Amino acid sequence: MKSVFAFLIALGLGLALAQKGPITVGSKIDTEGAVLCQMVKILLEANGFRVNDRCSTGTTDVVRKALTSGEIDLYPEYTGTALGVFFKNDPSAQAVTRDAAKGFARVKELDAKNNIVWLNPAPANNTWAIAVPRTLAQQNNLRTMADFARWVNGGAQVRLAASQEFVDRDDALKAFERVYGFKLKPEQLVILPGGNTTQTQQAAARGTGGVNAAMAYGTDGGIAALGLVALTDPRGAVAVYQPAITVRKAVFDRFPELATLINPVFATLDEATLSQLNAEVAVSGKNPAEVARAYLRSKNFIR
Amino acid sequence: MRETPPRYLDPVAGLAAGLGVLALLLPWLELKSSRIAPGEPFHVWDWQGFGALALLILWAGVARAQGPAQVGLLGLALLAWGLLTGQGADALLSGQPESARVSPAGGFWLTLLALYVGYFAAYRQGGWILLTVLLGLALLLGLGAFERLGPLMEFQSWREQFFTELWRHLSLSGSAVLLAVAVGVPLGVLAAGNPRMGWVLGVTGFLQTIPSLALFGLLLPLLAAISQGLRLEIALGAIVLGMFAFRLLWAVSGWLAVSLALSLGLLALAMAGAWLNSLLGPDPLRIVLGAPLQESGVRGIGAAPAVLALTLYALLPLVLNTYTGLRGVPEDARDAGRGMGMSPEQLFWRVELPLALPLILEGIRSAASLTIGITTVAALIGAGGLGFFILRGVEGGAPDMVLLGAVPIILLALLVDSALRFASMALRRRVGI
Repeated sequence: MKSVFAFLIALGLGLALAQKGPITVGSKIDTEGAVLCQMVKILLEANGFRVNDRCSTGTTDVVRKALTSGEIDLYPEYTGTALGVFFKNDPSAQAVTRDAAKGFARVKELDAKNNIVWLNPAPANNTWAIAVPRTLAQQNNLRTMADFARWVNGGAQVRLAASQEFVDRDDALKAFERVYGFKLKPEQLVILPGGNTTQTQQAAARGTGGVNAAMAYGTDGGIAALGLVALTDPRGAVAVYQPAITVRKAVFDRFPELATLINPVFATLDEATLSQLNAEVAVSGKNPAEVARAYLRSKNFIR
Repeated sequence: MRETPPRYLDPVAGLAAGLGVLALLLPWLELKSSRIAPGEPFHVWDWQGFGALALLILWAGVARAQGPAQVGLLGLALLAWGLLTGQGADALLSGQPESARVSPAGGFWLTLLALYVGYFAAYRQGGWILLTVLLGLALLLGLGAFERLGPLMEFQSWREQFFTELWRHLSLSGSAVLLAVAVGVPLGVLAAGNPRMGWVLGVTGFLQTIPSLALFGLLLPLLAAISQGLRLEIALGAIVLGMFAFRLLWAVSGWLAVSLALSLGLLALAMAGAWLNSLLGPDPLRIVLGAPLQESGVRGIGAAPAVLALTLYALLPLVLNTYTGLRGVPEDARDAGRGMGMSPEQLFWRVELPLALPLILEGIRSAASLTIGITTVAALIGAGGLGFFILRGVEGGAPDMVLLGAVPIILLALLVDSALRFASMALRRRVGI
C-alpha cells in the first residue's frame, strides 16, 4: 500500500515538474472572448502548460480588475477599449484611437506602466458599425455610412438601437455623424442597457419598437443570420478595435515563449476568420472550445 | 326518494381545464432559422388538427371527471402534450437547414401550467399520483419527445459543460447553505438569548438588501488584496488568535470585539467557503502552507467570493427563524423544565431547541431554495454554475440557452424544497410535534 502511495506521489511530482505554469486564462463574457480564450488555452496546453480555465470571467471591469490584481494571468482585450476606457483621461491616448498602428503602440506603452504586456494584435478591426435589415438596404440602396447619411438627411424614419457608450463616446456615433454629416435626433435613438450587439441586432431584425438600424461590431457572427447588413465605414470615422492578448508582466517575464506561441496564431485571425468563428458559436450554437480546437487544427498549430 | 348528490365541480380542476383550452389558442412552437433569429409561431393544428381536438376533449373530461378517471385523463393529457410537441418539432424541422431551431412557445408552457394545476387538484387522492406523473415524464423522455427542441439541442453541444456547471451549482449552493446554517443558527440563538445581540437581525436583514453585483464589486479588490498579501498560516493564526482576543475584548468594549469578530469572521467564511466548495465540487484544489492564500484557492474571483456572498444572503432566513422559533417557546414549557430541575444548558437542548426545531428547519428549507435560485449570479464572477448558461444565453441573444440554465434551476429548487419538506416532516414526527 505504501509503495502505491509513494508511486502516486512520485508520478504527481513528475507530472508537475514536466508541466509549465499554471497559467490562468480569462476573457469577457461575449462570444469572441470565449473563442479567443479557449484558443489560447488549447494552444498553451498543447505546448506543455498547465492552464486554469477562467474563460468568460466577467464584464470588462471585472476581467480587467482580475488581471491587474493578479487573479488571472492573461485575457484578450481590444486596443480601442483600452484607449477609450482604461486611459480615457489621457489626451495622448484619445488622439490615436482611429489609427491601428499608432493606437497599438500607444496602448502598449501606456499599459507597460501598469505592468501589463500586450502581445501582437490580430489583423482584424472589431469596431463599431451600423447594421440595417437587408431588405431595407436594398430598397434604399444603402451600402456605406455615406449612403446612411443621405438616407437620414432625406427624412427617413430611422430608429437606431445602441448602447449608451456608442452614443456618448466621441469616437463612435458622434464621429459617424461628424464625418458623414448627419444627425440623429434623441427620439431616433433607442438605448439598450448593457450595450450588447446581439440584442440591438435582434431589435432591428424584429423591428421591435420601430427599430430599423442597430449598433454592430465588425466581427459579429450573427449579422448575416439575422438578415442584416453592416454598412461600411470607408472614411475610417470611428475608433479601431484590434483584439490582442494582454498578459501580466510577471507572468510574461517567466514565460516569454507566450509571445512566440500566441503571436503566430493571432496573425491569422483576420476579420473574415473571426466573423466565421464567432458565427459558428453564436449562430450554429457550437461550443467555443470545439470551434477553437478545430481552427487550430486546420491551421496546423496543434495536432 | 333518494337524492342524488349534487354534481360537484372542482374549481381547481376547472381552472386547469380552462388554462389547457386557452393554451390551444396560443402558438405552441416557434420555428427559427437559427438560434438567434426571430421565430415564426405555429399552433398545434398547423401540424396535427386531430391532436388539438383530442386535447380539447381531454381537458373537458378533466374538468368533469373525478377520482381515478381524472388522473387517467390527466395522464393522457400529459402524454399528448409531450407527443404533440415531439411530432411538431419533427414536422417543422423537416427540410430545414441544420441551424434551424424549434423552441417551445406560449401554448407549450401554458399547457405545462395547466397540467401542474390539474395534478394539484388530483393530488389529494394520494401520493401515488406523483408516481404516475414521473412515469409519464419518463415515458416521454424515453420516446425522445423533447429531443429536437431548442434547449435540448443546446444541451447536446454543451453536454459535458452542462454537467460540470450543474455540479458547480450544487456545490456552490450546498456549501453556502451549510456555512449559513453553521453561522446563522448560533447567531439566532445568541440573538434570542441576549438582548444586547438584537442588532444581529438588523445586520443580516441589511445584508440581503445589497445587490449581488455591488457585493461582488466590493469583495473582488478586498479578497484579491488579502489573498495575495496574506499567507495561509498567518491567516489561520490570525483567526485562532482572534477568537481568544475576542473573549478579552468583549469584556472591555463590545463594539471593538464585534468589529474584530466580523472582519476575521468574513475571512474565515471566505476560506471555509472556498474549501468546502472544492471538497463538494468539481474543481479540487491544494491547500498550500507557506504560500499566499490565493495558492489555496481563496481569490477575488471564483468560488470564494461567490460562496461568501451566497452565505451572507442565506443568513437572514436562518437567523430570523431560529430567533423566532426560540422566542416562541412557551414560558410554561420552560417553567416545567426548570421545575424538573434542569440546568439552563439542559433546558436549551431538551426543551427550547426541540420546540424551535420545526421553525429552524423551515429556515433551512427557505434558505436552500433561495440559495439555489440566486447561485445564478455566481457566473458573474467566474465561479460558474447554471447561471453561466443564462448569462451566455442573454448575452448571445439565444433564448434556448437561457432555458438550458433556467429550467434546471427551477427543477432543482423544487426538488430540494420538497426533499427538505419531506425530511422536516419525518423529523417532526420523530420528535413528536
